[in-house]
This record gives sequence, C-alpha cells and structure tokens, in this order.
Amino acid sequence: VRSAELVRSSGRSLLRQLHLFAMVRHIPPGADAIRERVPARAAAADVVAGLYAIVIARPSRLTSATVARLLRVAARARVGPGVASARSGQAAAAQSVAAELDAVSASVMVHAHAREHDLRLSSGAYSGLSFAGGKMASAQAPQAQDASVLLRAAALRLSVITVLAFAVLVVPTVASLPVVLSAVATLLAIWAGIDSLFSP
Amino acid sequence: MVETIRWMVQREPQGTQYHVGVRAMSFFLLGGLAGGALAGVLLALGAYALYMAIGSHPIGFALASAIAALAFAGRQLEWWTIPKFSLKHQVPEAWRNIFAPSTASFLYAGALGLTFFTRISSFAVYPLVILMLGIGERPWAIICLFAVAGLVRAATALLVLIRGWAYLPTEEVLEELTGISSVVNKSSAAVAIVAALSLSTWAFLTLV
Repeated sequence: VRSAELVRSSGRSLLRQLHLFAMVRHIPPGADAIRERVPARAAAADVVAGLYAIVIARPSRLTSATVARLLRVAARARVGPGVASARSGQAAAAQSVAAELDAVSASVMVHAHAREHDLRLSSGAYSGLSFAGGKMASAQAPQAQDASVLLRAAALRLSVITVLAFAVLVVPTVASLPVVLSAVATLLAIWAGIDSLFSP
Repeated sequence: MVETIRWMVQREPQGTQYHVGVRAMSFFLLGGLAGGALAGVLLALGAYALYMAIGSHPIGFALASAIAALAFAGRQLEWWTIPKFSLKHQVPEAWRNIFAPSTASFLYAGALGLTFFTRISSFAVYPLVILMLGIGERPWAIICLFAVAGLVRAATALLVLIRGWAYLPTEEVLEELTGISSVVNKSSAAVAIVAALSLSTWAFLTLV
C-alpha cells in the first residue's frame, strides 16, 4: 500500500523502470523464487536505494559491512506498519523468501564479485526480512512492553535535556532585547513549534 | 510526524527498539535545533540587511507584528481567511526510508525546523518573523529564537514516546490528537491576542 503511494507520488516512472530493469537483471541464477516475488512496481524508495548504492556506495568499493547495511536499508525501505498489516496474510510465503535471502546473501558475502547482485536482490526480498521480523516480534510481546517503558523513561530524560537547551538559547535573547519583546518573541517561537504535532 | 516516529520505532526488531528509538529521537532533536538555527541565520541575514538599509525601528516592526498577530488570531477563530505563506514541502518519504534512522530523523526534523520550507500549521510564526525583522542589529537573538522554534517543533515528537503512541493503535492515537488539537487551536488564538496586546502596549508606552 505504502509502496504504491510512493510510486504515485514520486512521478519518476523512468527511474522506476530503470530500477526494475536493473533489479531483475541482476538477480543471480538459482533465485527464481525470489525473482517471482519481485513486486510488479518498485517504490520510489527503491529508486533512491539504487541510486544511493550506485552513486555513493560504488559496487567496487563495497565491503561486507556495506552490503549488510544496504540490505538493512532496502529492508527498511519497505518495512512499515501499513505494509505489514496489509500483507500479513503473506507471512508464510515471506518467511520462505527470508530463508532464500539468507542463503543468497551468505553466498554473496563470500563471493565479492556478486555483492552488487545482493544489493539488487534486497529490494525484492524486503518482505521476507520484514515479516520474519514481524514473526519474531509477535513472539516477543513482553519485550515490546519493556521497550515502551524504557523509551518513555528515555524520552523524559531527553525532555529535561531539551528544557536545558531551551534555557541556554533563551538567556542570550532575553539579555539582549527589551523584556516585553523577548517575552513575546519567546512565546511566539515556542508556539510556532508546538503545531508540528499536526504537521504531515 | 507522529506516524514517522511510530514507524521508525516499530519497524526495528524488539531487541533494538530502545537503542534505535533513543538514538533516532536524539538526532530528531538535534535536527530540529539545526534546522531552526539555519532558518534563523537566513532571517538574521535579511534582518541585518534591513537594519543596515533603514536603521533600527523595533517599535514599527512591533506594531506590524501586533497587527499580524491580531489578523491571524481572527483567522484562527475563523472570522476571516488569510493565506498561509509556506512552501508546503516535506522531506520525501523515501529519504526517511533509505537513510539510517538517526540520519533520517536529523533530516526530517531539520526540515521541520526550517519552518517556511515545510508545511506550517501555526500562525505564530508570521508575527514572529515580522518582529525578528525589526531587531536586525541583534542577529544572534534571531538565530537563537528560531533555534528555539525548531527545537520545540522537534521536541513535540517526544510525546510519541512519552504517551506510548508508538505502541498504541492508530485510532487511539488519532483520538488523543484530536483532543489536543482543539486545545491547541483555542490556545493559538489566545497566544496571538496576548502577543498583539503586549506588543502594542509596549510600543505605545515606549513612544509616550
């Protein structure tokens, strides 16, 4: 669902087609099952992933760590709650994709010349990674609760740091402006920031 | 923004959600601060140029800011309509996906902090800018105030973690946001009116 929205909003059909072409072309032999599951339409995120890989992380310079990171990046590109819930019925199929991906990526790690193939594959195999993660997540619900509590505590600590930073920023302003001007300006600055909760 | 933060937390494996969440939020705050400061620099340059051209006229700009605040208060109360001036851009969603959570957070919050270069909901930013244009001889104050705006903009995302929105169903989050929204809307008008009255009173007393 999210991918379709991205494609529609991007309007970069040429790039999308180029990427699809590259993605399918680079899937190595023996990975037909993954090839079949390459989505008919690639998301704009995939396009960016491809460009990122080609322009920034050039294949000739790819290390194993970079490949691993790009795999995560590509997986992340498609892992959203919307996608996960919309396709939850495909979890079993996705798990098999994940298993295949593991085998392929392990092979790629050994053979440096195939690293680029791994990179292309990652776009098509996103769902395997995400749904395998989702399965693990559902089996670890208590941990989710722990994470929620820990994150809340961390957010409260960050709030304190934010207030301190706020004070550091406001003091020079108050010191350099008339009291009324600084008070009104600070009030408006704070209020101008509060709205972002409702920003897209 | 709420959905972006929820997504960043939820998509990570359970074992790493805490570390990734804290890192993403920290970079989110830094991004807001940096974006706000950058917007402040741009405005400070304009204000300083104005100051060099026409000199210091804080009273005139304070009165203009008061008028703008009243005008936008009326808009907030739906008495009349005034266009919002913003570029209505937002960070491409692909960026949020493609970069690491910390980088994506920084970029996203940085764009939020830039205020005019993204979608603006608050009317407070317009009288603030007019007011800032009148203090061009103090560019650091302008930069600091916009950094505050950017930081506060980013800091509102902390609510996602504090209120547990990252783990609540979307319907519940929307319900809470709707409740907050009505309070924020009423408060926005109140803030604008208070600002207008304060500035006009100060200008009057200073002139007298």
